[in-house]
Parts: sequence; structure tokens; C-alpha cells
Amino acid sequence: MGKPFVKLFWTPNAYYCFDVNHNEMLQIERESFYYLQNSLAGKSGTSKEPEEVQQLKEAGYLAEESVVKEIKHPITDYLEDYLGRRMLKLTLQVTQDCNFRCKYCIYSEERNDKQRTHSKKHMNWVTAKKAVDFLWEHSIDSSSVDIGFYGGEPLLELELIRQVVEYSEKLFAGKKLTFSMTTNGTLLTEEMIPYLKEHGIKLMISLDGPKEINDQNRVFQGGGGTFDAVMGKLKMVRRVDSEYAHELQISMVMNPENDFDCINEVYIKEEQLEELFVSAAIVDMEYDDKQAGSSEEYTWKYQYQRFLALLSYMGRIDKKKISPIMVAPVIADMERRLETAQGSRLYAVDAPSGPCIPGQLRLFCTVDGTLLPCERVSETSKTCYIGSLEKGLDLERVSEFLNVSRITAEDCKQCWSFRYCTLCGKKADGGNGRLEAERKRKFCSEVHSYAASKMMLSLLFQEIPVYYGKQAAVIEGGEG
Amino acid sequence: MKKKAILYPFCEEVLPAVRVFDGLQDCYEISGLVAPSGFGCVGMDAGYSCNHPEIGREVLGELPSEEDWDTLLLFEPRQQTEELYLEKYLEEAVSRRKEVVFLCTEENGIPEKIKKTVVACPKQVRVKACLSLPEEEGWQPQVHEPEIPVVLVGGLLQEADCGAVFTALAERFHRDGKRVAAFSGHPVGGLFGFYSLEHIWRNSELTEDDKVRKINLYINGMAEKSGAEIILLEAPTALMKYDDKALNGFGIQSYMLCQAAPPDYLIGCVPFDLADARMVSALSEDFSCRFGCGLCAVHVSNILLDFADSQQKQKIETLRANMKFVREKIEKEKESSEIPMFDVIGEGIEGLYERINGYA
Repeated sequence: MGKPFVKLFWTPNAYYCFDVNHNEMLQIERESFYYLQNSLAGKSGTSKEPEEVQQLKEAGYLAEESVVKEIKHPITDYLEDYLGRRMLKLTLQVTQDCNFRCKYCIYSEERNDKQRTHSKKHMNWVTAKKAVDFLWEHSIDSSSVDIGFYGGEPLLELELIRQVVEYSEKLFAGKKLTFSMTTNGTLLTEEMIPYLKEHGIKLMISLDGPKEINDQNRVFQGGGGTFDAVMGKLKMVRRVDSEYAHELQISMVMNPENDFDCINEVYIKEEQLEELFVSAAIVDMEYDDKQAGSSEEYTWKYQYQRFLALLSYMGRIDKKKISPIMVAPVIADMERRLETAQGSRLYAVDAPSGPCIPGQLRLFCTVDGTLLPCERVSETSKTCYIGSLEKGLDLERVSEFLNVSRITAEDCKQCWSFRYCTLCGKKADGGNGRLEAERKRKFCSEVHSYAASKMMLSLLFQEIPVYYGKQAAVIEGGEG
Repeated sequence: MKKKAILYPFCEEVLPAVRVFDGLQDCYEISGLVAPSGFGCVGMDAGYSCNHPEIGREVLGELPSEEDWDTLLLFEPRQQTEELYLEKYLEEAVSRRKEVVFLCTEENGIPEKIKKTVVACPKQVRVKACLSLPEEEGWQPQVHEPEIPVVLVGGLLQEADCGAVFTALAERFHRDGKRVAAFSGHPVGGLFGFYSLEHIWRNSELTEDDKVRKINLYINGMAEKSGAEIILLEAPTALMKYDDKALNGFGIQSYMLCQAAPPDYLIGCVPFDLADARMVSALSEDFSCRFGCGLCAVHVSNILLDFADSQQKQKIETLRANMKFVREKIEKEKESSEIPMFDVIGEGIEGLYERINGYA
């Protein structure tokens, strides 16, 4: 037997073979596991083929080649309709200015040459109106749309935001319309709160942890930490309208060089943050060609908290005792673990999962009307340009971005985590005006490790009722 | 002389009714279609709402000038939407001394404001519900299969032009002089003399058995009363579960309907990306077991499921693709498909109608 297109897994209880073409996890005998392991290592001739392996082959499993012959995203042919009729979100960069100068900020003057830097540029009403009209013209089939306000610091342009809200509410009358804003929160005033609530503008407020960690990086333009100012504003919102305050979300950028427990501490100590949804991300250094390093303490404490969050998901620990930073990722992981069982097999014409439809899910419009797939890509790189308000969307560029895996087609066809890939065009953007295969390949090991962890989680939950029945019974009885 | 009517709110689901409007009733002629701005079709041809060919009627954002119309036809769309501004248009029409007709499937569930205005202005505002038998007229311990042919139109997705095929067939039968008892769940159906089963579906006091019996009794009763030669049914929901995310009510209501009135002709409305000869054949076999009737013909729709968004929102989210994909698909599959495929939207109802007439 040659090398089968499979990935092997084992747990303390059983052996498994993930058949990539079928996208199925098969529980196998120990003997088969070692035989397949040898086959993968090119040593298949050393032992006799187990009967189970023969049976699996007869049933169509364990093929040696990927069934994928061509990389093409399934909606490639329908891009014009998706983008012409089903746009879902528009994010407006209302200003490039900010009253903060966060040290890790991707727009920082000291950081990189592949992203714009802070400037006084702001969006004018003509551009904003044109952008909202653009969303209207491209969303007839969308049952709801969202308009996001982004910066810099969007609250520096409150008047423009008010104009956009008023105009959009009239234009989208009869359709579900929501607003969101990513802000540092320091420019919020008491007078703004009833307005924000009335128009359902959801705020995502940035905060990186307790004062000593937050203030290391998140500083005002003129210097000085921002923690006290942000917490003061959160307190104010709670005082003015506790119901609205409850809806606030916290966006957290974590530096893994810090101690995870220290980062987490802020959610335990600060009552202003109690029960708020936290969205955490690791500091983005991709455009610096660097990866954030992580301390040993951060890693094991993060894993421990993840373990606790899983126990909480299973009802063993009170949710209140779990780090809010872990709640969202664990819920997402638990939901996605089902995808492992439900995802479709591979087809002759197929594409790795990963990219969203550029421009459909979160079209980003810069101050001057340039259109980008989302707010996370480089504004100066030509690779990410997908059009402008003036010229409309460039479907060829969108298609290229959507089908980013074509640049690594041969690798992708042979990749066991084809269905679990998370890479989009941004990961292949080196700022040289084209999608780069070598750059994209750098992220593959990260994807493999994520996919493997997801599959192990899926196996764990499959095994619980089989191998840990007694413990599960304790859970159900509530004695845990 | 026909009254000039404005239809509000114009949306995708009412486009089929607009297409056959003149062929199925004599009271009104459409003078204008008005939609809330957020529906995204104001200023466009009405066909754009489904990415269908133009029908030569532009959608308006406001009621037109006073002399252009006599009646405002109001209804609540079946698909959930945000604020519809029904009251605003009701008040505007009343203040302009126009007639207002509120179209609905049954008189229960009419918005309070409409009810009050009907009471306050009985000569000006009225309710037009789909036809129904009085409740006390019957009960039976068992179902009786209808004695006239039953045609059922259903889809893999309800949005796959089921309403368009249904109304086009109703109009075609009517044009041919055939008496049809047509059952649809759309509020505008009352205008065309369609019957509705909504009062039975929504009755939470009935068991599933009772509902099947009631539907059977009601369909037979209406067919007999109207002297119908054909029963035409629109499946209340999609024919089956689409996938694990788009559940489609598991096709349970369609199954119940087929127990009440077993179809002789099943017309399946299928999204173009699924309209492969082998797929259609497999579906037909499945429906033979499920509903007791395989597919007589397929209408290929330009509807496309937005899989990612449906997964995200845990409900069916669709878009309308360019009609060229429908044409290309039919061209590619028609030779190999045992079950004939039609594009009722692009090519009209004639081909499908002939198929039904020639179907043994």
C-alpha cells in the first residue's frame, strides 16, 4: 500500500483514522493504526495488511490520492449575484485620526510600512452617503444589513455618524438595519448614550486588561495610560443607562508575552466589566513579518482556563467562575466541533474553507471611498484592493482573493486539513501587489495545529459517553 | 370598468400575483406597485425583486398622485419583515377618500389598526379574506380521496418560485376554461378566488390527525361547491428538509397535505444548482415513497441558498442568481433527465402545462 490520504489520531481510549476525501473520522483497531502509520512513513511492506484496512479500502476509504482536481470556490461563478444582491455589512472608516497612540496599533508610525499610518483624513458626507447608497444598491436579497463605524477613533466624527444613521434609517426603512462601532470609548459623553441606544448602535470598546498591562501599550496621543479614562466612561454608561451598558462588548488585544492570569484579572476585579461579552485576539504583527511570542506562563494558564471553560460548558463549573476571555472561543469551538461530523466530503472541483466572500460579509470603505474585503487588511497594499465607490467592485480581483488557494493549489489538494483551513487572502499579502504562495505557506502549520486540536476536541466529546459514562452521570446528576 | 389599484407592500413574494393579475380577476387593474425603500426595489422594474426578466412596471416609493388610482390593496407579506408602514398608507389612502382593501388568508389576525378603521369607515375600508367553509359544516372520521385530479406545486425551498408556478398554472387553467379549486397560503390569493388552509394549519387545538381530516373535508367541500374539475394545491412549506441547517419544517406540512389530498401530479420547484438529472430522479423516487407521487415535472428556479449566512443565522437565507444559470442548467440536463425540466419564469407556463395535460 502507498501513502493513504489520511491523518491518524489516537487518544488513551482508541485509535482513529481521518479519511480526508470522505471527511470522516473512522475508529480503527490498534493493528490498523500502526499499519497505516507505517504506510504514511513509507514502510508499508514491513507487515501484512490487516483485514480491517482491506475492508475499508473495499468500501472506498483510504484512497492514496486526493479527489480534488481543481481549486475553485463554489460560489466563484455567482460572485456577481452575491455582491450585487446580497451584501451584508458595510464598515465605514469615518476617520484615520485617533486620540490614542497604542504601541502595537497596526496604524502606528513606528510599526510597519505595509499599512497606512494615523492621519487627519476623515470621510466627508458625500463619500459616506455614496457608500450607504452602494450598500442599498447591492443588498436587495439581504434580509438584514449592518453598518459599522470604524477609524481611527470613530467618535471623533460623531456628526458624520449621526448623518449616516439618519439617512440609512430612511433608506433602509422596512429592512432590518443594525449599527455597530469599534471605539476606545474615551470620547463618550452622557448626552450620547440615549442617542446610541435609541438607534441601536452597538459599541465594541477596546481594553487590553488591567491597568498595568493596558497602559503599557494603550496610551493617549499626548502620552499617559488610558485605563482609568476607559473605566470611567464604562462607569458613566452604566450610571446613565444600565440596560445599554449591559449590551457593551469588550474588544481585547492580548500580548502573549504577558501572564494570562494578569490579563484576565481585570474581569474578576472590575465590576464595570461584569458579564460583558469579551472578544479577544492576539496582537496582529502579520504586516511586520513577525509573530507574537508567547510566554510559557501565558500558554499553560491559557490552556488551563480553556479546560475550565470546557468543564463549564459541560455544566461542571459555574460559568461565573470562568474567564470571560475564554467563553466566546470555547463556545465557538464547541459549535464547530459539530462541523467536523457534518462537513461535506471533498469534490473534484473544490476549495479549502477559510476565505469569506470578499466584500459581501464586511465590505470596508476607506475615508476616500476605496473598497477592501474587510477592515483587517492593509490599506496601502494593492493586493487587497477590490474596488472603489467610483468604479464599483472589481470582480476579477474579488475572485482572485476568494480563490487565494489557487496560488498553493498543489499543496492544498494534498492537505489533510482542506476542510478546516482558516487562511484568507490577507495571509498571502506581502504588500508587493500580488498574492504570494510562500507567505501563505508560513501559516499552514498554524492551521494544521488548529484543525488537529478541533478534531481532538470532537473525539473527546464523542468518547465521554462511551468511556467516561460514570463521570458523565455525575454531571447529569448535578453532583459535580 | 376595472378600478385602478395600488398594491402595497410590493415584494418578491407578490411578484407572481402581479404577473397574472389581469388573468385571474376582473375588479381591479394595477395602477402602481409601492414598496418601502428598504426592500431595495424602488425605482427598479418589479422583475428585479427576483432577478427575473422585466415585467414593464417600475416600483414606486410613495403613493402616486390622487387621480391615478381608486383603491389601495394592502396585505402583510408571509415572510417576516421589519416595520411595514401599513398604517401610514392606510391613513393616507383614507384621508384621500380612496377605497382600501386589506387582503388576508383569514379574518383572524388582522392588525388592530385595520380592524378599527374598518369599523370607523365601513364604506371605505374592507377586508377581503380567502374563501372558507363555515367551521360547523363538517366532521368525518376518515379521509376521502378527491375524485378529481390533484396538482401539487412544492419546492425544495419555498422561495424556489412555488408561488409563481402555482399562480401561472391557476391562470392557465382558467384561460383554458377549466374550473379549478386553488388552495394557497398567500393573502393576495383571496383576490383571485383562491382558498386558504391557514385557518386549519394555525389551529393549535387540532391534533395532526384532525388537521389532515379537516383539510381533506375542506378541500373536497370546496371542490364540490365550486364545481371544480381540478384541485390545485400550493405546498404550505417546502417538500422536505433541505439540510441540517435549513430544516424547512422537515416537510411535515407537505406530507400532511398529501395525506389529505394525494397528488396525481407533483410539480417540483428546484434551485438551479441542484437541478441535475440524477438528483431530480432521486428526488422523484423519494417523493414517490414520501408523498405517494413522483415528480411529473420540474421548474428550475434561480434561487440560491446562501449557505454561510444560513448557517450563521440558523435560518434560510437566499439570493437570486442571474437567469442565465437556469437556462444553462436546463440546456445541459434536459437530454439526460427523464423528468422534464422547465423555466416557467423565462419561457412561460406553456411547456409545463402541456406536460401536465399529457401526463398519464
